[in-house]
Amino acid sequence: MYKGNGSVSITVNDEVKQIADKARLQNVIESYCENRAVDINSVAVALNSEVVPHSRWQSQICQANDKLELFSVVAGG
Amino acid sequence: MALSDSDFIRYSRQVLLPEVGETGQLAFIDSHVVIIGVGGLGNLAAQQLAAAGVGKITLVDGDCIALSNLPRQLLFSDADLGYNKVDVARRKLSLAYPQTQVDAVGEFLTDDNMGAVLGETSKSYDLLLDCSDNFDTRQRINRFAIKSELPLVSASAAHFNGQLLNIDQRYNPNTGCYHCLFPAEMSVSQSCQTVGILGPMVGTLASMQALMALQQLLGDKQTVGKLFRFDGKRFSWRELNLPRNQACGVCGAGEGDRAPVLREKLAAGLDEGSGSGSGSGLKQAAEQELDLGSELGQAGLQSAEKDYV
Repeated sequence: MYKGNGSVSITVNDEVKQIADKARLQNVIESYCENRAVDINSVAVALNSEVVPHSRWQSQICQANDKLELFSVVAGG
Repeated sequence: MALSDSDFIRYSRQVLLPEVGETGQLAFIDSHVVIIGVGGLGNLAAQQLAAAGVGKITLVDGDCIALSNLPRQLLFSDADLGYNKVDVARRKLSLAYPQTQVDAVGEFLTDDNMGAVLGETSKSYDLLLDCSDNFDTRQRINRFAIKSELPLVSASAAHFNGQLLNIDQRYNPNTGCYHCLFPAEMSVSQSCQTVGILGPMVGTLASMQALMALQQLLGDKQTVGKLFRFDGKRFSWRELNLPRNQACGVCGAGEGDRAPVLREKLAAGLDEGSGSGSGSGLKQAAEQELDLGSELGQAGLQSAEKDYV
């Protein structure tokens, strides 16, 4: 869904994805979760090895070659 | 204070390490570690720390030993079924490691009893280990650690995923807490009861947690503010930086205003920087935090991972 002019490559959990240039992190996360039927409220996000709090997802702009990691809480022990 | 001849021999392989030495071993002996949760993580982490010579360990757990615990909670056997975990663990650890004082608190942590269970003597603790098995308790422990300014090493494991986090804002106020990583309002579905676990998976995380704990007790702060994620299928570790979220409901600037505390520390000129490589130290970190509006920027590093989300 991110195809077209002005697209850039990023990786999301090691998978290469094409996204719109300057796409908002929030939109990239929403799309990923939607495609995998994952509850967006259950994921934490790291951009280029740094955790990004939910409050910054909307303002954070993705760039070419960004590496995104989405992961869930592991609470067992 | 010096090591006895017997202790010198007992701990000789640890003392041999330049990072430990006699001083480090004495620091272990002089330490008090609180372990919350005596399941798969707590069993092994407690045993590792007692074996290493940690002087005092307090175990907190209200649970009783069940048959399904035995494949990964290795202090327990069939004869222990139905007994309280902390009582059995205390008995067995005290027998094997008499040099360690093991205290047992047979209660689950709740908002109501947390002060009574942990609060009164928190000043005597050096370190908290979160070995619990549920999200609510993890949040509770984090709140206590932040409020009490105690370092916290949090480990977890379920399915083939493990997470390990070193929280110590007293050392570096720019680093995050558990709630910065996983806000309490997040939804959680993974637990050992619902997704299963192999014993060595939780044992791996417990050993890493104990290793991180010993390094904390030695004053090695390299892992503070870092989250390590283990993929037990691919045998890969990933490392992430966890900056403090200024909007965090537990440690954020908006709540429990820490600025006065930090200013005091600055005025006192404290600099606890060790050989972490970051060269930051408490003073610099405090200065950075007091620089209002300096939301932590994005680092330009690399890494990515496939996970079960």
